[in-house]
Amino acid sequence: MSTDARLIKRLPAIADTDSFELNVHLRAEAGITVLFGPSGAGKSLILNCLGGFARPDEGRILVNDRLFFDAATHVHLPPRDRRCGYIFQDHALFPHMTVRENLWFAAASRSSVDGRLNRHRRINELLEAFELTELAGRKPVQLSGGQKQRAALARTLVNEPSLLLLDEPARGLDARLRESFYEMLRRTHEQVRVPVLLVTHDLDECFELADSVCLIENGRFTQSGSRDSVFKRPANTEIARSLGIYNILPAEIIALDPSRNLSRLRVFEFELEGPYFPGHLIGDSGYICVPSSEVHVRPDAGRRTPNNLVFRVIAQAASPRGVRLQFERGVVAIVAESEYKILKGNDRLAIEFPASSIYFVGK
Amino acid sequence: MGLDVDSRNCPNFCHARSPTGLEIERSTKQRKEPLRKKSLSNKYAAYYFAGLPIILPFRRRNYGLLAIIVFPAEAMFALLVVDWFPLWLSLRVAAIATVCVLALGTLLAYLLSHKTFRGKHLIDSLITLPLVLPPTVLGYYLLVIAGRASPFGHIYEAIFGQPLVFTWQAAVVAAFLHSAPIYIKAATAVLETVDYRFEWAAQSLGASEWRTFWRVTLPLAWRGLSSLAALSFARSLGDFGVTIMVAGNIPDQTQTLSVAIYDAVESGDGALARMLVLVVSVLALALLWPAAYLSRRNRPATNV
Repeated sequence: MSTDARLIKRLPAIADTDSFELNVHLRAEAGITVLFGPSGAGKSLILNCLGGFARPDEGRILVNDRLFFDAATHVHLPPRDRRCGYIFQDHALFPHMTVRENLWFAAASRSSVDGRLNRHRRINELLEAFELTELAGRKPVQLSGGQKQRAALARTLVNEPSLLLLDEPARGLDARLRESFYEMLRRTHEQVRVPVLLVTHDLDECFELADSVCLIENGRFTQSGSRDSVFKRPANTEIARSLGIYNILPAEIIALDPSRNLSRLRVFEFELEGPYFPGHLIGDSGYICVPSSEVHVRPDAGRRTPNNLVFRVIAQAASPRGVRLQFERGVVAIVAESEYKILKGNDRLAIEFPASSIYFVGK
Repeated sequence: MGLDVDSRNCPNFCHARSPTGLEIERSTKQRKEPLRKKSLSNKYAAYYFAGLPIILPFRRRNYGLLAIIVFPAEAMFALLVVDWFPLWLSLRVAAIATVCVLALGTLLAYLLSHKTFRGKHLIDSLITLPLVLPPTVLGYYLLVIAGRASPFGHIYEAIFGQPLVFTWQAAVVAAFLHSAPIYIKAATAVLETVDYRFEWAAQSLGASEWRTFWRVTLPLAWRGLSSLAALSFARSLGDFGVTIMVAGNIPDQTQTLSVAIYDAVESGDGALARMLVLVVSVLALALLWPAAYLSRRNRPATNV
């Protein structure tokens, strides 16, 4: 169960859009792979190439050892022969058919499920599994958002796809529906063991679902790997910045102690203690990345405490996860509402960077 | 013939004559064609004879507002006496032309809206061409292409045993040319509005392009396409220029409604002309009104 796609696709400049080149090498294993990046980075184009709706200029697509596309030998399977379950942002349930007819369309379109009886059985199983039996006679307009999602997922599973492609499936849904959709997707993935390729520009969605992540920027992968390796160890400050969860401060390594797994860093006029950074030397200058949610903020006691940096607050804003404090030099901290009550009124605050959450990135 | 003679004896007959006096010429012309069955003045005369000269006093005057009453009344009479062949011919021609337009036009519209291929813009322009060219030019082309001396004309004659030009089949071709460009243009736009995601979803579920078209694209576009079908039927009824060039004006053979109106006006048969004009207008309105209802919610359900 693996996907290996090397894709090069050039889009010429048309009217007011600039020319664009997609050049990626995607390797996805059986889990959920998330393509994460801003709009216009080429995420959907990758899905379209895999699904057969766009033809790459160069490259090769192999899914489970089946050749979908090969530029050199002019192989280009049409979408119907690729057995990719494609789920669109708005589900694309056929509006003129009932839920059952939608599933029946899928079953009757592919010869993999033979015989009317088997098809009916398969459809009934899926309707049952996705709690759609009572809704089978309804048209999509009569369904709620969550029911539509279930129906769309059930429809793609009728033909036992070899790969699920999801294009921003949870966009435009409220938080509750999102949660249930993630839950359903994970459960489906557990049961069917089908590799999933999901495109999103939503960080939470990426974090929640991904087994592995490919960060994509302007048609190229900037970093890919398991979720933790990407999010905990961004390869450079650009990536860390684009994730938007880090405080990034210039730093210099002044001491390294591999035996005690310790290091000392100079950040502005402060000294910080961090873990040992393999592959870096004393005197290296670079940046430290510390997630905004992992710093601790307390009133400035006046005396120097280890790993505490004192900064002036310049702005604060309420957010669903707590109060977002903006400090000078671009430092951001997110504190709970209750903590914020204690901090309120103080101009200067001490910010503790826990040693374990400091990550050093070379220049 | 006997009726004509009778009507001459009738003192009221002069009232049935049109102000230009062309009616007289017409009836003399008809006398030379004894096979011509129905002649409007004959029948009018018959009705006046039958004791229905109620509206006659009005006919001498400038009607003014009374026209509102007089013309419909006249129309009621005319309904019974007019030669309806042009109407039936037009309906038949329009029906056949519309079927051809639907089949061929929908195919072309699908290709234009869903495919990219070389020469697409050329084909697009060729389709628009009949809209901008004078009907006489189109008619001339058709005469050259399908005339009896042309290769196509020979082939056609060999297959069907009769030439294409100056038959009612030529009127079908003319009606087709008249309505196809508009249908194809509009149908392309309608098919483009069908959300591509539905078609992609169908294909990724394993449906062939053919199946996707019949089961997804067409059902989602049927409102728009059926209103266009009504439009192209109405438009097929109305072709004049090309029809008169390639099908001619042969009474009871190729005389369609619009040609019959022209003929009636030319020969000064005002009553017939008014009657046919009224029929065409009502028919067209009856077609377009429901079509407007269909195209009102033409927009396919893109947000399910």
